[in-house]
Amino acid sequence: MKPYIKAGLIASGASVLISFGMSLYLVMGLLERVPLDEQAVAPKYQFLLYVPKTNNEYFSLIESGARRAARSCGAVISVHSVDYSGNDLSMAARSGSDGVAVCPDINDQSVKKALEEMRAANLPVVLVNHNIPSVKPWPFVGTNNFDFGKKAAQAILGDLEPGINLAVVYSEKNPAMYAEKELVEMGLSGVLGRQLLSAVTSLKTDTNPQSAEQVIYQLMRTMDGKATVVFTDSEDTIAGTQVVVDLNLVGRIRIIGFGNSPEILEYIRKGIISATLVVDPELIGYQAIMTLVELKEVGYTSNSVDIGIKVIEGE
Amino acid sequence: MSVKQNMYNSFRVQMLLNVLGALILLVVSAAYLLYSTTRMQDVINKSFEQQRYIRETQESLDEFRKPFQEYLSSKSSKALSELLMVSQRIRSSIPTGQPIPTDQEGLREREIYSLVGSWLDFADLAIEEKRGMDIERYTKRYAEMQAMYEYINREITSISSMRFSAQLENYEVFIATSKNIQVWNLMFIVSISLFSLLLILTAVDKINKPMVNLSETASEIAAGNFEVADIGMTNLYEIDHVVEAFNRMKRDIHTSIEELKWQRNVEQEYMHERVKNMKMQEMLRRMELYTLQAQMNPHFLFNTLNTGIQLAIVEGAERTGEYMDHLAKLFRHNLREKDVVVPLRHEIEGLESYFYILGVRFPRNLDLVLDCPPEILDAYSVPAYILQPLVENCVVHAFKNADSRNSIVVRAYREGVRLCLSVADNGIGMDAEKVDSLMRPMPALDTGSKVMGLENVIQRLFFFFPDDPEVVSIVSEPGKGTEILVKIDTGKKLCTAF
Repeated sequence: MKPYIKAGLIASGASVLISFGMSLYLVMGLLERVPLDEQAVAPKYQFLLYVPKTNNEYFSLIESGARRAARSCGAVISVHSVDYSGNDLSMAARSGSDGVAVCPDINDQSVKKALEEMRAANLPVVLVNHNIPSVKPWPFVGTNNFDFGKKAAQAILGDLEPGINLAVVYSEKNPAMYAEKELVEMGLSGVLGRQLLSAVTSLKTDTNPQSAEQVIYQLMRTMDGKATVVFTDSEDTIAGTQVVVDLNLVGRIRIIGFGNSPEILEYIRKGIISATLVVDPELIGYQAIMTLVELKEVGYTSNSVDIGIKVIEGE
Repeated sequence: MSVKQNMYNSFRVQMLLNVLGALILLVVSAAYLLYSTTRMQDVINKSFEQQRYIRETQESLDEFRKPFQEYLSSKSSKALSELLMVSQRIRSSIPTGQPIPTDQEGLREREIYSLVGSWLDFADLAIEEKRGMDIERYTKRYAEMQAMYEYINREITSISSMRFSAQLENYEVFIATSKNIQVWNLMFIVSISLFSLLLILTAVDKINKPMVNLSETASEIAAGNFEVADIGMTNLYEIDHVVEAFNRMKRDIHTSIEELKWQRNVEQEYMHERVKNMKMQEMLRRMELYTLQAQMNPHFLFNTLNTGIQLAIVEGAERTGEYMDHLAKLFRHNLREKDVVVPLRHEIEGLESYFYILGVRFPRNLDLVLDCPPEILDAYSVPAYILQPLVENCVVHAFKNADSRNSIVVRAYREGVRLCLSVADNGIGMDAEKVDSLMRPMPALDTGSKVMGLENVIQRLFFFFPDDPEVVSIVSEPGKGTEILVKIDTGKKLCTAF
C-alpha cells in the first residue's frame, strides 16, 4: 500500500470516528434532555407532597429529603402548595396518587377537611412537621414541640442568672411551631418554672425575612431589663441577631436561635447567640416518604416518628 | 512458488469485499444521518405533542360544560346526548395504564387526567341527581365540579407555562446542538466518503501494482536485462498465476539466451583456434622452405671449396680462375635466388655452373648432359633449387661402388600442359620400398627431422602442389639407374599461401 494512501486512510478513519462520535454524543445529549422513549423502569408509586407556599429553606430541605427517599424506594413525588383555603389539598384525594404527605398550614380546619376526604378515599396520608389532632390521628413525622420547649429552656438555664424575661418569636415561615405554640411554651415553663419573671411573651413574624427586625424593636419597647429571646426560624434568628448587634444590645438580650446555618454558627462562635436548636428537615422529608411506602406496602405504621432536636451551644 | 488458493485470496472476492465495504459504510452513514434527523424531529414533535394533547383535553372540558349546564337547567335530551358523547370522547382520550412518569410536568399531567376522570364521574352523578330532582346535592356537586374545573384549568395553565419555559430553554439548546450535529454530520459524510474512496483506491492499487511491475519487468527484459529480480507475489491468486508464469517465462528465455551465447562463444573460439592453426601451418611451411633452401649451401660450399684448393695446388692459375668463376656464378645464383618460384632459365643457368664444377671434380668418370630447349627457358617458372639437389643426390648416392662410367642426364621438355624436368642416372638404383618411402608425403607439422637432397625436393614439390600427386615420380630399379621425373602442371599456380 502506498504511504500517502495509508496516511489518508488513517486520517479519514480517525475523522470518521471523531465526527461520528461527536454527532452521536450530541444526539444522545439531546435525547437525554428530551427523552423520547419510556424509561426503562417505571416508578412504583407516585406520592404527593404538600408544603406551605414559601421559599423557606426549611421546607426546601424537607422536599429534598422526600425526593431522596422516593429515589431510594422506586417512587416519585410531585410537590404542591398548601393554599390557605385548602382547595388545592382537597384535589389530592382525586389525583390518582398512591399517597400524600402534608405539611399542614395554620388553617387546621380546611386541611383537616381535605385529610378526611383522603381518608374516605382510602388514600395513605402522613402529616409532616405539624400534627393535627383527630379522633383517628394520622401518622406524624416531625419534632415534638413540647420537647423543643424543654430543650430551649435547658439551653437558657446554662447561663445561671436569676429572673428571666422570656419571649418566643414564632414565624409563619415555620407554621408548625406556631400552631403548637402552647406545647412549646409548656415545655419552656415546665423547665424554667419560677425562674421566669413573667409569662412567656409570644411574638410572631410573617414570611418576610426581615420582619424579625420589627419584632425585636417591639420587644425593646415593651420589656425592661435583660431579656431572653427564643427564635423558631433560622431566617428570623439571623435577622433578629443582626438587629441586636446593630443596637448594641448584645449582653442585654440573650438569644436562643433556630437552625445551623453558617451565619448562626458564626454568631455562636462570637458569643452573640447563646445556643441554637437544630432540627433536621431533610430527615423529616425522608422519613415521611418512607412512612408512606410502609403504609402502602404493609398497611400500617407507627403513629409518630420523632426526628429529635439537637442543641448547639457556645463554649 | 505455489499460489495458495482460498476465497479471500481471490481478486474478485477482494474487489467485491472492498466495494461492498465502501457501500456498507456509505449506507450506514446515510442511515445514521436519517436516524439523527428523525430523532431531532421527534424531539420537536414530542415537546409540542404533550402540550397539544393537554390543550385538547382542556378544550374538550369547555365543550362539555355548555351542554352540561344546559341539561342541568333544562333537562334537554339533546344536551344530554351531546354531553354523553363528549364525555365518552374525553374518557376515551384519557391515557390509562401508562407508566408513572418521572418529570414534574408529567406527574402533574397524570394527576390532571385523574381529576378529569373524577370530574366526569361527578358530572354523571350530577346528571343522576338532576334526574332524581335532588336539587341540593346536584347544586353542591356542581359547585365542587366548578372548583375542580378551575383547579384543572389552573394546573393546565401552570403546566403549560412550565413546559413553555422548559421548551424555550430546550429550544435554544436544540438549535445550538442541531447546528453542531449538522456540522459534525457533514464532516462525517465527507470523511466516510473519503475513507470509502481510499478503500477502493487501495483495492485498485493492489491490482495495479503487480501489473505495473509486470510492465516494468517486461521493459527490462526487452532491453536485455534478464538479471532483474522476480516479481513478488500479491496474495491474489489470479494475478499470482500470471506473475508466476511471467517469472517462469523470464527464467526460460534467460536460460535459452545463455545457451545460445555459450554456443556462439564456442564457435568463435573454434574459428579463432582454426585461424590460429592455419597461420601456424603457413608459418611452418615458410620456415620449412627457408630451412630447405638454407640446407643446401653448406654442403655445396664445403665440397667446391675443397676442389678449388686441390686445383690451385695441382695446376696453374688459369683453370683455377675458370673454376672459381663458375663457383662464383653458382654462389651468386644461390645467394641471389630468394624467391620461392623462379624462371626455368635461372634453374638451368645455375645447373650449368654446377655441371662445370662437377666436370672439374669428376673429369674421368662422370658424363653430364643438359638438354633443354631454349624456347622454354623463359616460358615457365619452377620452384627454386629443384634441379641442383637432384643432380647432387645422383652424385652423392647413385654411383657408390660403381665401376662403369657414370652419367647424369638432365632434360627439360613439355608434355601437354605439363613442363617435365627429368634427372636420370645410370647408378645403382633403388628398390621399390626405398622409392615408396621417398614418395610418401610428410605431415606439414612434422618438421622435427632434417630433410636433405632428393627427399627435400620431393617434399617441396608435394608442398607446392598438394593436389597433384603426379608432380614428382621416381622410376628406379636396383642396378638399373634412377630417373626422377618432375611434371609441373603449368596451368596451376604454386601453392605458397593459405
